[in-house]
Amino acid sequence: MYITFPHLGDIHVAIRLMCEDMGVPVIVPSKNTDDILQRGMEISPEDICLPFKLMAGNLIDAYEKGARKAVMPATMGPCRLGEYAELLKSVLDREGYEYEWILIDAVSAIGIKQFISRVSSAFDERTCSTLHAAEAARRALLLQQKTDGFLALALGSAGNKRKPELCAQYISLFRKEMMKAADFKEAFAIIKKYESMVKSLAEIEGLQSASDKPISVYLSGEIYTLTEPFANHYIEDKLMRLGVNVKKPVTVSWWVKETLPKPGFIRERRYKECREYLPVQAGGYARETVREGKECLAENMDGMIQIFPTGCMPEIISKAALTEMSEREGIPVLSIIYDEMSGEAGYATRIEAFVDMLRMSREERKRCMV
Amino acid sequence: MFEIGVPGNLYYHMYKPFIDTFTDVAGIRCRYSLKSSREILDRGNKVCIDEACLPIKLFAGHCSKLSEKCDFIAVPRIMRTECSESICPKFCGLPELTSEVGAKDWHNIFSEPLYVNDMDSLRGQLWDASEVTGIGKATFDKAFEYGVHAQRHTVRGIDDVGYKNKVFLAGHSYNIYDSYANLNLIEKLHRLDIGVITEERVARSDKEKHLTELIKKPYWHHLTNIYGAAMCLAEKRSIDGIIYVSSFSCGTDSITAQLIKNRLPNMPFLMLKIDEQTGMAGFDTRLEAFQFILERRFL
Repeated sequence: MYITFPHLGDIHVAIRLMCEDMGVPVIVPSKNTDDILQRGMEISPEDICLPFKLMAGNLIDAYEKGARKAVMPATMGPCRLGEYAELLKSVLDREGYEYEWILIDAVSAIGIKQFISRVSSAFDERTCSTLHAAEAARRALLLQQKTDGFLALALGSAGNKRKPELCAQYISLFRKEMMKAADFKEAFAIIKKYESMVKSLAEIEGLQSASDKPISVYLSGEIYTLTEPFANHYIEDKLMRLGVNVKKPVTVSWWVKETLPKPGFIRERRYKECREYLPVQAGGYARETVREGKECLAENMDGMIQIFPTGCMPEIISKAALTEMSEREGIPVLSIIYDEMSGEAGYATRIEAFVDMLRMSREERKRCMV
Repeated sequence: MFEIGVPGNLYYHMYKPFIDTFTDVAGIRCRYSLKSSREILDRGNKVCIDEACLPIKLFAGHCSKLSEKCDFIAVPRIMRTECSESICPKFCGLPELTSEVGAKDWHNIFSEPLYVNDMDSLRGQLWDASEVTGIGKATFDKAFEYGVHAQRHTVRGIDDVGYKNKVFLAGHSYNIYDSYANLNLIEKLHRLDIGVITEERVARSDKEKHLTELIKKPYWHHLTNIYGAAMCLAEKRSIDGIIYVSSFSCGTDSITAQLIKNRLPNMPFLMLKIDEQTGMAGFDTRLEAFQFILERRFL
């Protein structure tokens, strides 16, 4: 039985290679497009958030390609993601796409035993030993980490380059090549190649003084929208082309680290600075977004862009907290809310205006100092 | 003595017996803001961020109005309900959502999150919050006991008899009992000779029986109660249809309503979305059409 999973950024490369390495038949749904979204929307309730609609579209597509077993990550709320699988099963069953469902809940919610049994039931058709499977999983994680590392490099240095649009082009080429990678070795080689390509791009001279540095923006918000380029209308691409250095801490490998169980005091310590704005964990990654606002200040970034899909419950809270922070500490925050509309112009205008505003305020400061 | 403002919205309806008894026995001076109105909504719109839903905006409006007259306002941060289930994330960030941006003199008597499932911690949090009112420990304990007793033994919810048709009125308690937000829905239904039953009147054990049909035990209070009650009432054949009142862009309702609809394909189902608009005509037409369906269901 072929297994499948919904898209989340570049995660499909690591999962496909891992499954192939273990001998598990796997089907990767086609890339997110307007068509996929349309098909997902047709069967979804109208009020649900955008990631659900895209995931529904992915699973329909994979079903038609022959997949019969769906693996879904889940949480124990209070964000909607934890109930996604429940609703996906309900709407897909109604339309005749009957999957066998495997929910991968967080270890802290279902216990380690149940977690292991669920994971092994997802890969029960593997042809290799358990040891080999563990090795494949380790390599998949490493691959994901390296991929995120490469993307962070390209995003973070695009503004320094003479031709920042080349960085954007390299990323899209990189994604295309990664899709065709036959095994882990090849994938790692591709990452290495592109890393050195980005590094060798010519940089603008005279970037030493702080006031001449390119504009840097912190990109934060809801994890699906951040990691899936289709869901955020390729915002990274747009920012890079504007010559902006982007820092985006929320990635899939970040998420894996974050989900690992940790003792309470370590968890709490990391939120010390944002306690005055949001003292509790309100589900999803609301608190992390607020914390990133603080980090953005500490790292002297020019501004912050928060992105989330319409109706995302946790991010609405962090938007309220960020508004407060922006008022009190004077950090520019732009909140962009994405929905199914595919009109580009509105988003592009707002992003350009925001970047222009950051540039102008910096000029202002420079003039004041002189 | 201080005066404490109690916004009569959101979970006030659910914990009404406790709140009323507690403040009454403890002798705390309270000012309630129970009725929503245009003015409250306008105030809420000003205070709240745009993306918040209607009930949150109304709640913020109540707070803003109370803050003019009261020394403190009770904006609880409820993390878990009595059956250790979570609520919509917005409840966890309620103080952030309802406080005015840049308002430094925001007086909320609660500072720590409340876990209603853990009696000891709840008692501790309430005791800390009661400090400003200056009541003694003995009075507090008595008031707390009475409050819990009242909460456990008060029959809440609506179960009408004597109407021709009966529907299950599903949705959050703050949408059902706020007659401004839902445009006086219950009275309108009564006028159409439709009786109403709400989820509070279905026993918890009956609701839980139906949750085994799901692939995962739900973690939301609303989902458990509304889904469970709908399944139970449909099985008993004691209702003719379901009317779901939901505020626009409600996160939990989008899932609950769809699950019920898919599970009960033959049950007449009306989804009423409420938002800031107060035009009645569209609303009334849909109710009349729904009554028409109920009447002719078995013809």
